[in-house]
Amino acid sequence: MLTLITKPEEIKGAVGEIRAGGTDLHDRYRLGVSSGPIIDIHKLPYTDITQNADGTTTIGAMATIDAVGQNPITAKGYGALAKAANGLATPQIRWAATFGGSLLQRTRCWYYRHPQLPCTKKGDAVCGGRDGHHPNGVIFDHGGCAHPHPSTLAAALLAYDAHVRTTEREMPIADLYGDGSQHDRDHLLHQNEILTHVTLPAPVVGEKTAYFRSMSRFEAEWPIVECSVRLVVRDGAIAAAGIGAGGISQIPMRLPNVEAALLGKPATQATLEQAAHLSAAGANPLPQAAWKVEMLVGTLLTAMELALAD
Amino acid sequence: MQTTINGQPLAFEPRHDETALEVIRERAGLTGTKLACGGGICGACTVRVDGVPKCSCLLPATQLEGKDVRTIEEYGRSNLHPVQRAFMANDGLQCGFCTPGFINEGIAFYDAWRAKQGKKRPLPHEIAVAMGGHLCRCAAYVGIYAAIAQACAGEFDDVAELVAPRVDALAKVTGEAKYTVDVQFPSQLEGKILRSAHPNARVKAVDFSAAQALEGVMAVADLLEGKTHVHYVGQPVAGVAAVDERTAEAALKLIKVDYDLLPAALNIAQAMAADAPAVFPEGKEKMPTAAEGSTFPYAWENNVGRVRMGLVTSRRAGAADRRIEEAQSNAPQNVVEHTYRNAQQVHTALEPHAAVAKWNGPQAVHVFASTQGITPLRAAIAEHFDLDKAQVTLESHYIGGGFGGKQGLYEEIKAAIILARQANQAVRVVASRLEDLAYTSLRPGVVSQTAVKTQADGTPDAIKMHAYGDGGVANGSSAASMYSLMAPRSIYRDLQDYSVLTNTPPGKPFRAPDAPAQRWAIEQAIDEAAYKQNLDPVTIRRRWDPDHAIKNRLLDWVETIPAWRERGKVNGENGRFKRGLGLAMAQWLFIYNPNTEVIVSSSPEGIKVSCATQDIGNGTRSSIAQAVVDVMGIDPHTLMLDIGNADRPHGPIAGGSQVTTSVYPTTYAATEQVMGHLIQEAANKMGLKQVTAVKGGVNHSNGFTPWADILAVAAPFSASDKRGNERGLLGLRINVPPGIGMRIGHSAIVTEVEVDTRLGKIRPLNVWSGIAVGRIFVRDLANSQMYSGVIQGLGYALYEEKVYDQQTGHTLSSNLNDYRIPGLGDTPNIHLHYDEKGFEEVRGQGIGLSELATIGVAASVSNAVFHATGWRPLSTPITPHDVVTGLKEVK
Repeated sequence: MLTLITKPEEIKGAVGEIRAGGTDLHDRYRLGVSSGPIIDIHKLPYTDITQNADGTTTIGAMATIDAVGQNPITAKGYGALAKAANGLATPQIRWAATFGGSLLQRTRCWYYRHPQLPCTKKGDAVCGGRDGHHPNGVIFDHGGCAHPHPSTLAAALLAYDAHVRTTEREMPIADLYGDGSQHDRDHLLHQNEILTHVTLPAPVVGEKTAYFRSMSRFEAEWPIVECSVRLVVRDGAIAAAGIGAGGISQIPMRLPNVEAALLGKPATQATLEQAAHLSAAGANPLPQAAWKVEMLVGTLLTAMELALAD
Repeated sequence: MQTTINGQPLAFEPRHDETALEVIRERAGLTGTKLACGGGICGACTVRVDGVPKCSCLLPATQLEGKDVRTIEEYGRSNLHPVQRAFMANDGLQCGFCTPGFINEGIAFYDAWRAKQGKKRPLPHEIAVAMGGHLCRCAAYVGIYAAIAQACAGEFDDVAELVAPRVDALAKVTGEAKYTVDVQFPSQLEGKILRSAHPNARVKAVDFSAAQALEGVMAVADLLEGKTHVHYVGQPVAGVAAVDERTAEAALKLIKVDYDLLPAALNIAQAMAADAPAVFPEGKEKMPTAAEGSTFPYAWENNVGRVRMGLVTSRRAGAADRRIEEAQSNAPQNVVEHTYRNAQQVHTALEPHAAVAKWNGPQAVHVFASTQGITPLRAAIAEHFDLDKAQVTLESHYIGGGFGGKQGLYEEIKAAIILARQANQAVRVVASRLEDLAYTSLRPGVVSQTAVKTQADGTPDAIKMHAYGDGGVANGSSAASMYSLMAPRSIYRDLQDYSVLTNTPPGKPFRAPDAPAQRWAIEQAIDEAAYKQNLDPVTIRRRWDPDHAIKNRLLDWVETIPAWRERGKVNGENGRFKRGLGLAMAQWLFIYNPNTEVIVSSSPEGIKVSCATQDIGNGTRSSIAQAVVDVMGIDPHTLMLDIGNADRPHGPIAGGSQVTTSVYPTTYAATEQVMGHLIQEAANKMGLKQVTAVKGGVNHSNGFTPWADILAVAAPFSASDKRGNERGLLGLRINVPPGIGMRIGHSAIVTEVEVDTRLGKIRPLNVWSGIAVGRIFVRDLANSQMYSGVIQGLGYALYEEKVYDQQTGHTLSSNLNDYRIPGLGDTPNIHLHYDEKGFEEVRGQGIGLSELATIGVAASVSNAVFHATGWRPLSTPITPHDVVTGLKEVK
């Protein structure tokens, strides 16, 4: 059954899984991992990216990922987010997938996306990956699902202290995902709650930014680890820092200890290296994923180097 | 809803989960748009929606409402877009299955580039980023880069002439080419296969009743065909044919199978354990094979089959082992010994395994199949279904890649024929991407104990290779045995193969079966021996076969490569990124099909060439056309190339590098006869005097007359020729197809890599591929095969690995995100070299090159990684994980 809605209030009483761009949902439907009725929201009007009077910026959840990457407002004022948007997936996906959908997509774990393998996110009693094959698993483990959160943009938004607005409430981006204690959720929206907007604080002039993902090939590959970095350098010292990291935990992560270690320090390679090493603090990797702790340090260092060179 | 496709309005009401792809292929009937990965990764299904490229496999049908959709059929053959012309001219395609997607993206990029940059030429990096959502398994990337760059630069804006070294390129760039998945009989059903969910089980009972009762189900069939056991996850158990795919899938879920579960061996270690469960508890009679052609005799101990060829493949094996053992204690600097490993690789043709079958009465079946060998497949169908060959009509006109994985009567073909018989309707069976990656075909993994012992100057004293092949439930490992055919005769050697059966899907031949694994071990061992003894890698290889003229010429060429000459010492660079160069040599057999017969006929319609062979993207059509062109100088695009139908004279399979050397000389000879007839007719029917053949026609006393004019009046005529045998063992011409000539092709590969020591990424920068196979028949297509051999070899070396869940036996790498094949941006600069001397006595003066183009690549990568870092990877693929953990060993 298909319910095609054009206004958010029409979702009341509708039954089905919500489809915006469809790039995640149709992959799952084709694999037989998901089925059933669909609520199609692609005609909802939230496509604009606007700078507000108070300097903040609001991005509609129905904007495409490409728009987030290319729009002059985001490209100029929110480099880490725009670069992350330009650095994920492939051009065709970025043209079709929505900003909101990229925050709310289901996990990319190969146990989840295989119709016959067990996965707690599919309602099975066990997580196939935790006892099985998980070299790309989590290194900051909160229990439950063994696979990291898939959203590149969520990690970037954490670094910006973004807020999200839904049809029901407004909250910091971190609350969309929780602290990892609610197992087997990819996000914490309610049934039929629609993400409508994301608001970013006013841009920081002169901010240096970067996005970097580690992977085995040139492009078009889910990251081993990915980092979004914002640095403000004044008089040779780091005056502000925002670091988001993905591919490492069941939730997208901000790295406040790394940010704290950067603040007030000279903007030098030595500072970056010292700070990057702190990203490993508190890691409790799954056994086969332990190698990724070093990859986090290396990926973060690379992203910070790119940011300084920005 | 209303949409517009290529200017044509289309009204439709989509099902809730309908995609744009289904609207385009099924409702509009435009089959140029292909389904390949189904996950938005490969881009084969890309169309332009209001000018924007989108993956139609993921695009909801609802989003087509009110849109202007453009597919590959937008431009017909008389109205080609510059991007289409550029792909043809640069041979930016092989099998053609991904081509519509690439071209649609290319057109959008061209439009955007022109609007912003004018006719500036885009850089390779810019093209790789723009085309990042496309994969070509044939790896036609070198041509694709050139095509996009040249089209953007305006080089094809006002070109009227069709330039295409590949004669079927036009059909492929326009979406006209019909693949098996595109075949549509009236009221055709969709067939689906119920597969075992268990790696080892006895099937007690199968209950079809609920599936049969489902509305829309037209046939439910047993696919065990008398087998009592299933031996791997994915083995076909039953099949369903229904009015559509969704109904068939729903019916599969209603079939109840009662299994008696048995313990399974899911990997080599489990299969070789003392108390290992038997992979075939009921006996090995129905064991499949991964070998190309006939298999070796085996001595079995539970799951481990020792190939009983040691006396043939080895020479003084005991003495070889003794020399190696003694050196371990007396002269360890002269011996290298390791365990080398290669992961299973999956063929990953972008057109999945697929077949369409329709019975015309109880004794006649019409089959379309995506196959590499129509001649043997027809024989196999006839035998399996108890028919005469003449009762089997088999067609395969365009095949979306094969690489070895589409040989024989595979399960999807069998299922289509069985279901079609039962339904008494046409049935199409297409493997899903998951099925294709998980169950249909793979290159066996190999673990080998390999040792090389040399004298201090590098002269080889002994070699040992004990190879254990994991081809799942299929036997057929030949890594070590194969080396005996290619090793210098004088070396003492202990070469032994073992097939280890595991409860995983069956292996099949894959572009040069086991040869890349054999080279991976031996070329690394030789390389390591050189560095251990302070010998130059070229020098030690000269010692290996000192009087071999061809090998020495290839090594001379290696020494002319500036980057090779100027390379520094091992691990000689500081800093995060380290560069290194590695060399590997490779060999491959001369395989041809002596029974190949080609008929060339002339008529007022033109020249037609008939042969029961096929073109999987390897270029069979172009090789045939080239032979006609070389004789007559006729425009190749006017030829009628009648292949892809099994009801034609015997033709070669696409495998073992046998096609060109089988069809070219044969077509050439038959064409000469036809040309003789035409010259006579020119005199008889047209009254021309002093007629002599020249390019494109004849010269005569009154000037020049083109072939077309003569064909128009000449009596129809046919001539045939047979490939025949080369001299084999003892100089005899023995007819045992596939023929193996007593010649070996040789290659030398040098690869330059950059290793990111921080993040473990290996970037291939340059590959020099030199090959000696005699004459090159069709240079542009040979180049394409050489490039793709390199790129596929890089995939084997760096990215590709079939990964299993060790609890259940399911394949985890079952989508194109998790099974990683090389993309455009992974393509290095590739430099080709042909040494064409030394094969003059072979008919046609040249042998095949496709297998050889890929064999040595992985070993050269590993040798380059060692040169860059001082760390030697012993396993493929060399992943970032391996690099970051391996580099710690060096420190």
